[in-house]
Amino acid sequence: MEKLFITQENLKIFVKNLKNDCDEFIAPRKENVDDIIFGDTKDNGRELSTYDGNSVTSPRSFLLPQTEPLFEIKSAKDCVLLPVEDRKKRIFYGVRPCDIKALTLMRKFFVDELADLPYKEKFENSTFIALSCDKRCSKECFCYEMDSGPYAKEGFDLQLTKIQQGYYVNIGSKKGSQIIRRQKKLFANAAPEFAKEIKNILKDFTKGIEKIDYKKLAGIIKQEKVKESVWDDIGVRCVVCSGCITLCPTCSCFSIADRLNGDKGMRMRYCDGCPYAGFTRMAGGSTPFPRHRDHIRRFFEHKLSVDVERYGTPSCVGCGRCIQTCPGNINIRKFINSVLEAQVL
Amino acid sequence: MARVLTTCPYCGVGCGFYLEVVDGRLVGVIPSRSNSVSKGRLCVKGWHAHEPIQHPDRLRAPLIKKNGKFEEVSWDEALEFVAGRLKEIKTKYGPEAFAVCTSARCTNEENYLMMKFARAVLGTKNVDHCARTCHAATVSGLNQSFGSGASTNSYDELPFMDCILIIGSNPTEAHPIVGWRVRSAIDNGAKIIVCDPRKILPAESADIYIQHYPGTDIALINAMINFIVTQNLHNKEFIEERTEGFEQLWQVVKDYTPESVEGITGIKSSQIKQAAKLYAASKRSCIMYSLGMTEHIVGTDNIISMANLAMVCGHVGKEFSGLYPMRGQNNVQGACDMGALPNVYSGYQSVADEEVRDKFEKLWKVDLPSGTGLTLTDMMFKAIEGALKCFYIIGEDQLRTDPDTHMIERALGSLDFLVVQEIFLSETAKKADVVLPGASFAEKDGTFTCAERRFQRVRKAIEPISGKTDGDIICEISKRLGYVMESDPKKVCDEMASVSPIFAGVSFERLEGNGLQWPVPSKDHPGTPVVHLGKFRRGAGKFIPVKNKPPAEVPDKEYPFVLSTGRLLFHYNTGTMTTRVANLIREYPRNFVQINTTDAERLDIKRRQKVKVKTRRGELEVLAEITDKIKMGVLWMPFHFSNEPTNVLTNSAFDPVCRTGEYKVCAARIEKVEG
Amino acid sequence: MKNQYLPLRFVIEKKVDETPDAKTFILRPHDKDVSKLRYKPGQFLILSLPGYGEAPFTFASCPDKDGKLQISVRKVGALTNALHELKEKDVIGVRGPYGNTFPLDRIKHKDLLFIAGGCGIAPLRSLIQHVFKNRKDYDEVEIIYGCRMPRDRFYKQEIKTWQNNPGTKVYLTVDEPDASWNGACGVVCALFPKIKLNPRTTMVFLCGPGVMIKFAIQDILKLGFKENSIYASLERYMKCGIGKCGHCYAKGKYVCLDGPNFSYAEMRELGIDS
Repeated sequence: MEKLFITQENLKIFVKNLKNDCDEFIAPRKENVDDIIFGDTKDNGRELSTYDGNSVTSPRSFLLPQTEPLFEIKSAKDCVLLPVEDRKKRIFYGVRPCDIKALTLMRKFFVDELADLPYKEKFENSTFIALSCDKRCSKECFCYEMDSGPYAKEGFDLQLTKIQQGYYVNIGSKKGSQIIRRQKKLFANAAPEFAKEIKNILKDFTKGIEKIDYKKLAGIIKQEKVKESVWDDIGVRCVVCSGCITLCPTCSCFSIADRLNGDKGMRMRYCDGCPYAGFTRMAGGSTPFPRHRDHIRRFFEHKLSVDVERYGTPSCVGCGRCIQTCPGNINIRKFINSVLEAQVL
Repeated sequence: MARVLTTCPYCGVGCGFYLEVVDGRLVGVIPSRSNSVSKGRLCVKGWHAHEPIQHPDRLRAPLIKKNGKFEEVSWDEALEFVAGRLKEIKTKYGPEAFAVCTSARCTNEENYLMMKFARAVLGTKNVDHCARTCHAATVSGLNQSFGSGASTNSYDELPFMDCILIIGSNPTEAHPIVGWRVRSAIDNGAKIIVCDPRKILPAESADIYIQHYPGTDIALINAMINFIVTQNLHNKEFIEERTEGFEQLWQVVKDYTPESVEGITGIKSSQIKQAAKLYAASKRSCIMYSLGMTEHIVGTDNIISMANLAMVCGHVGKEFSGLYPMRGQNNVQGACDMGALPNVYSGYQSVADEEVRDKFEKLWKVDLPSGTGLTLTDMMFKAIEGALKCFYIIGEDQLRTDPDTHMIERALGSLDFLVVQEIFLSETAKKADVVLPGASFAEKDGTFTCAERRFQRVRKAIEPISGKTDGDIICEISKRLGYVMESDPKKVCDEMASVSPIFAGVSFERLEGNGLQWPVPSKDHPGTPVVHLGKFRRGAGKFIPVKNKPPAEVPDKEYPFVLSTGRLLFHYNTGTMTTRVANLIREYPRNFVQINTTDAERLDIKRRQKVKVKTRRGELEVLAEITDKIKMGVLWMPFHFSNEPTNVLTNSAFDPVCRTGEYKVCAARIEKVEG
Repeated sequence: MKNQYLPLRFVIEKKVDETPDAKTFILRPHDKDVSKLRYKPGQFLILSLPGYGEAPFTFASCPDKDGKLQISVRKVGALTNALHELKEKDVIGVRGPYGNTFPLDRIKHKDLLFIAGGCGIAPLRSLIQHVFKNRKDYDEVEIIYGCRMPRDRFYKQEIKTWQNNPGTKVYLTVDEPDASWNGACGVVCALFPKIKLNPRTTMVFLCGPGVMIKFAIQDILKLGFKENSIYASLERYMKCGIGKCGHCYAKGKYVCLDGPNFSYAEMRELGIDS
């Protein structure tokens, strides 16, 4: 595939043109003091073309929002439901490689397997422009260790890498090359020394860090060799805030509930998941997971063990968001380390 | 799609988040990482703060009761009617027939307006709010000891403490983001002392866990002081330089040897000594407390005893020390600050001070009533006596929050006219003659003040569902009574600042970013993270000797248990909002009573069995939750469930100073319900 | 493309009282379109009651050519309470079928043992009816059914016809007998000594409360029945029915996709015993 280059100035034109070609341009914005959050900048030009750190929320919050209407209930009495469709054309700009990997995993789950129409619709109408990382986005980030950064390998339409003179551009899909083709004159062929510069960035990024042997990790967890005290500690720490499952770019669990006003209303789906006791409790009150620690255990096992078997890679992408938001200081990174270290001894 | 930065409407911690709005629909919450209070964290209630706002049960139009039934009416009709009735009552009975109850859920600006409305427009002294039922003891207690009735230090010091004494507070459940800082402190190696009749979550990680009987806190703390002084662990230099009255304190405390209080507290003296030593000897020690200390007939004394303990050790008046009263509601700090209290104007300026009254009279261009008004507690008694004729209540459900529900029912039933401003039709609103639909936090601009005295902005994300904010409603009624008030929140804030010296530097512009911690005495003052640095607000810190006193009701043959009440992580107060959030109500759909395993075995009560809890005031059927985490002889119930209201059981006996009810202790019995 | 979450409309044709807190609902398709919902014994559906949301129920009868179906519903929450209040001719939503079926290909010409507790008889009934409809394809049948009290027994009339079916034995038991009851008392396991079937050639089907399944399997294994011939129909909280919502997930399997019927061997692999 051809390697391209775009200058800072041309990138601005490129973005401006892209905005004419979509309903929502979802890009990183700076809010409050220094919060980075993805939001629609189609009409306001508030996007950051490059930024440090990562967005508080991932693209998941647009494709599988915290709450979203599934159906309009036209008549509850007659059970007439009208699907709510979202065919908006969205361009996501500046998505970090960890989130790109998460999108790939979510595609496998929601689109490639038995498809979930509301997700599929939104996903297929979206374009993803990645922005690779030149440094750790936070002290909690461990993307390289989890094999999801600092560059995206797949799952993007275009990927930008900031270099001194501008941006190095990778094309990752047919959609990506079509976009480039339409604005060909803004791009130049990448000079060979740019590749060298990128190699150096990567070298700096990965200095002194090692990839996690996630297959080994998955095996230890599957064989239930994690010390009981590790799970007990997590049980005491988790205060069921639901922050981890809301911010995790690969959490997919949800519930469905209705809101009725008279005979009309909405059938909503909303984020739900492991931490809640009620997530698995049945109507009669019995539950397969009576101990609180096993709720987070289920979360970790799914991400770090089951999905390795299922997709060949963990569905924890090392973005660090669950660590940053946890009021119990539960740290999946430290958990991984402690599991692997305990195994060595 | 829009995103609006605002402040959480639940507990007093004051977390910051963005509300996400799509086509006028609130769809989610995003925590603000750069918010200095919550730093990207929220509790489960905060994460779902968007959900109840647009619930179909929200009140949309004003209601007037006609022939015993509510009818929806236009705003004009409702406002005319209310203004007319208020005028009538004032003419017939005089201004002291009014009582105004403002709301710790509303903004500072609305509380200021409501306080002004009560005093300047209705002309009544009787204005109060629900701080009466929670932290009034803190205001009166700490004011006597230190000269300021609020938290002495800031949240961000907590993770770096060496020792945290948590007493009568459950930060993990009631104030989870402060609970996070306690967790961080533990992770950083801090020693934790938990004193609570229930083995709450922080107790699992505590170094010392003291499971004393409810209502025996003064005995416990005096014994700690006794041991500290006899062991020569007290800070003589601090006592000498910064306090007064130590000798008087010692005259009382010298009799409280740890051995002598074993019987009262149910705690071995060795444990008390261990805790006293740890607290006193640690370099950075603080005390965190909450309603477990204030909601007693000795609430004020409880607070004073902790102030004594802190001063004896010199653990106050500097960084990494102090007392952390954990405020229960988003803006209960602010409602107090704004003078929604019967004895002060905004900024704790005494109503008894002629100069202060003069200042407000000049600003508001009216004559103001002189003297202290009635507290919420006394309003209820006066209503039953017939002296009060009209209550104007905003955003509070007395029928579910005040102790002894049946007494409150009688009080509200005795009124000529009851106006309630609410967002859902609460039990109290059902008793009203007129219900005016107010606006939630998501529908208005303004400020909340959190438990660390921090003013933070609240911003409008959607238009008011009823068409008006609470501030608008007050101003419109005021106008109809012939007095025009500015309703723009920004200008109200400016007026408030201009007339309140400790908030003089507060303005909307200056609150951008991360707000300001009061005192902020001038426009260029950076705010005050730690109060009493170098010198207490009152000058010398005052030791006030206090003695333990048994609760108003102690267990006996007929009612052999102590019943205490409290908050669950998943719900908030009367549950009007949280019971309307799917994931929250799913976790705890119903009321229950916790009972110790041994007690349950003795009474042959099984898990999830229906039981009847009875006190001298009422009875309630709930499910039993059997646990070894509660002290034997103690029962505990949450108070969030409107259809199974715990407060039919609680005692309305109150602290003689701050007049807060004794929610935390009453005598009760429990029996099985067959079938 | 199909929206998996869109329910089909069904009409309540009949409501039948089963126990003081349970009813069976006979449903027929609203639009005469019988081809839309074809299911096999053991599968389940997601019932939709606008305003109350959705909940899973197993098909309680064997497939019918008119496309009618039955569910038996105990009152346990807001949705089931509201469902009980509905009248005949009222409309509800149904989507499905979901989940796996009983291993119909493995059970022909075999002895069959059914063990049910309380409303756990409902999913087994779809298979029992199927067996009786094709009676010559199956050998001996024994049914053991336990309830808390005699009044808590489902399908009282129909069970009498099972008892009269040649080559079929039905054993009933209750935990708490009343004056009308002169049958066996105690848990289902207490009746196991009565089983005459050959443990080596019999297929066993269980459904009931978690503890019952757990102890019944323990005891039935002691009698020599084989791990991969024992099937339990599991109940889990679920919302979607298509392996997306995550509620019923355990160790990489989804009860709604990979179950709800599991052999005991599979259950062990998943680390679940009930």
